[in-house]
Amino acid sequence: MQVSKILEILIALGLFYFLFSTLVSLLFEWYSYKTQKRGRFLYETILKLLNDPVNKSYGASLYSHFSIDQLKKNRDSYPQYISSDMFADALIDIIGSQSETTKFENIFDPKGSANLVDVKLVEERIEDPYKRFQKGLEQMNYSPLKSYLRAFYEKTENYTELKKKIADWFDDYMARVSGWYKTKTKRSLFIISLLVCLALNVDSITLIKKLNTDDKYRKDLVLIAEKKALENKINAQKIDSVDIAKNIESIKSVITEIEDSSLPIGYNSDFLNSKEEKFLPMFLWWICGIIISAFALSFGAPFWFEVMVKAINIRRAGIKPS
Amino acid sequence: MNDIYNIHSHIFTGKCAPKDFLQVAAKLGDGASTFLKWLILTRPVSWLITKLGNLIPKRILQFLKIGVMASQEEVFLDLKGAYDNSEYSGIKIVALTIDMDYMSDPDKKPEKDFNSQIQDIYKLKKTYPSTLFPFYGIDPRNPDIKNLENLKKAIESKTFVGIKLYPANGFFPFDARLDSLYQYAEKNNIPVMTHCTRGGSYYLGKNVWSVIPDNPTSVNPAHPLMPVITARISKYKNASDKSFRENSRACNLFSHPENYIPVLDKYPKLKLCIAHMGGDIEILGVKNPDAKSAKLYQAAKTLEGNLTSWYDIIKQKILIEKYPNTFTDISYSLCDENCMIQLSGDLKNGLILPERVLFGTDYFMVAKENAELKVVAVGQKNLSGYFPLFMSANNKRYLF
Repeated sequence: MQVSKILEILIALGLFYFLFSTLVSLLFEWYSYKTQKRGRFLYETILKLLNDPVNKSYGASLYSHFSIDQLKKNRDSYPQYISSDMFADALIDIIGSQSETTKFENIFDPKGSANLVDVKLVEERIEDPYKRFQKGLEQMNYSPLKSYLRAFYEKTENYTELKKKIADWFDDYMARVSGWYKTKTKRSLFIISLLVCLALNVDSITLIKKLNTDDKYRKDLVLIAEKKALENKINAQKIDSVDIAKNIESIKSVITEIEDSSLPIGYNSDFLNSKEEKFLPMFLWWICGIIISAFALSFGAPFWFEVMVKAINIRRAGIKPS
Repeated sequence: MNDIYNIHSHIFTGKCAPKDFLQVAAKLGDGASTFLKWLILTRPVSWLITKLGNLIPKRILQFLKIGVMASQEEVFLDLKGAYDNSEYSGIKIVALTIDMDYMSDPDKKPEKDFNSQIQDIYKLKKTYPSTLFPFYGIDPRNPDIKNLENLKKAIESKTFVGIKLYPANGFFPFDARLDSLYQYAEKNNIPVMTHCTRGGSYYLGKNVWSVIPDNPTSVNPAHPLMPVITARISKYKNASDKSFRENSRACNLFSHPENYIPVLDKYPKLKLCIAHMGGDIEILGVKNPDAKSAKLYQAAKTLEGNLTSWYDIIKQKILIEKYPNTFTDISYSLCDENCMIQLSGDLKNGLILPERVLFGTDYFMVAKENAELKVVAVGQKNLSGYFPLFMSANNKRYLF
């Protein structure tokens, strides 16, 4: 087989997987949003980050903090995302609030009825948030978390620096959390991919066969792929967690693109007839094709876009000058 | 009627309880209970319970609806809201926190630990200073018991107005580790509320006998009742009816009202409320219309070697002149009309001093039986003459 033909098949496959993995990603995002998967995972990892068995669960306190609590869409939901700025502000406030002394004064009826007529709140707090943080730290018993936070305080000279240190720490941790989340969600992604492949009959083996035998079809797909690559961006359709109608629109637009590419998918009469001939071997090949597709789609749209662009560049021996 | 109090309520959420907490209510195995709690706290099931809880006044649904609430504030407002449009509008609420970090095996610890539960209460008290009067939960297994640092901070700031003990979670009320607590409470006139019924919540860990020593330490080791208590432990351990060796019944050893006598003899001025009057099983005894409860009462009485019921022990040995600051409350028991009739008769016959009885409901535990105002109505119907006294004067005397 010629190298150019192999590259063309690779480009066409890249396009094929790219379109379907975009659909899978959209469905996965929608599923994650509906099941609070991402928000719950973020909650669990923040509990872990701020775990302090000696003092208290600062993760739970963070989520009860007014600024974070306001991010909840409703009473049962978890924020999907917390910015590092917000995290740092809330944590500094929580630690600092430990330095506060709050007292209540019970005021009884002066006429001697022993009725409690009022309860006055008397608050003593340090106004400077940087000093408050230091005093709050002093209130904590020794723990690895205290030691870590104290190091931030010791390395900084004012609130801005402290906030930046904590925000950087959070960003660094979140980068790792993203990796953990990807690993954790692999199985769900594979299941959604498999369901998409079964629902739409996305069979890689049938496609490869068609690409190998039908030159015109293969070249048409390569042209579409080149057009996509020239756009030089991933069709970054993101799930809008608020507007479900928009999400459905995003999914519809991907399906339209798939239909326009006239890919060999779906359960048409050809598919059913072909299965009647030699049912068992055909069925096994079909299952293999579906599993390969599901596995490939679970790699995600960015991966397949990159594969597609790289194959196009190799085929052209360089990026087309603009 | 003004300045009235509900002396006994809980506003913690399902997240403050251990993973296997539903064992207590659902009588399920450990694994099933953990699964059920997880299931109930999942978003769709929690949503469904909230919706159904609003539509169907089924008691268990109402209880679960409160259990799945997102925050203590939400639970508190639910309770406050129940009274807002009633004749009890403006009632002050005493919320009893419970340290549930030690009521199960370490791997079943609550998602929200006790310290977080307390921190939320600190915030709530700031928001509702004139309505909320929290009690600080104490468990001798918590390291804070050594110097009572957190408790003292909570009490001295007047954020918390009393101390809550829940012995059935796995400790004896006469535990030597509690000595400094009682000393502090007596010296500073701080009210102590303790649970006293058979059953209720109890230690959930796999091996309940790991928390029941043969010879437990005591604040008053030379007290003549200590050998009786030790003998009772032995009787439970070797009970021919194996059900008494299991958690739900073995924890009755912790709740027995006699356990407070060695404490009271050492600290006679301690302000102590033995809640629930011992519970319906002990109030009604063999007269209980529920044959199962009557049978359990008889079996437990025989095993424990009690001459009288727990209710009688409370009346005759605790609410006495020797201990001028002892009380009991009608919480939870008030939902059972028979218990209220019994109490009403005892009050009329002078068998219990009206000044020693407090009003509380045990919200949201009592939601399993009926809605808040409905249980209050049962109490008022049978104790109408005493209700203002219980709700106001007695509760104030106990609290301040």
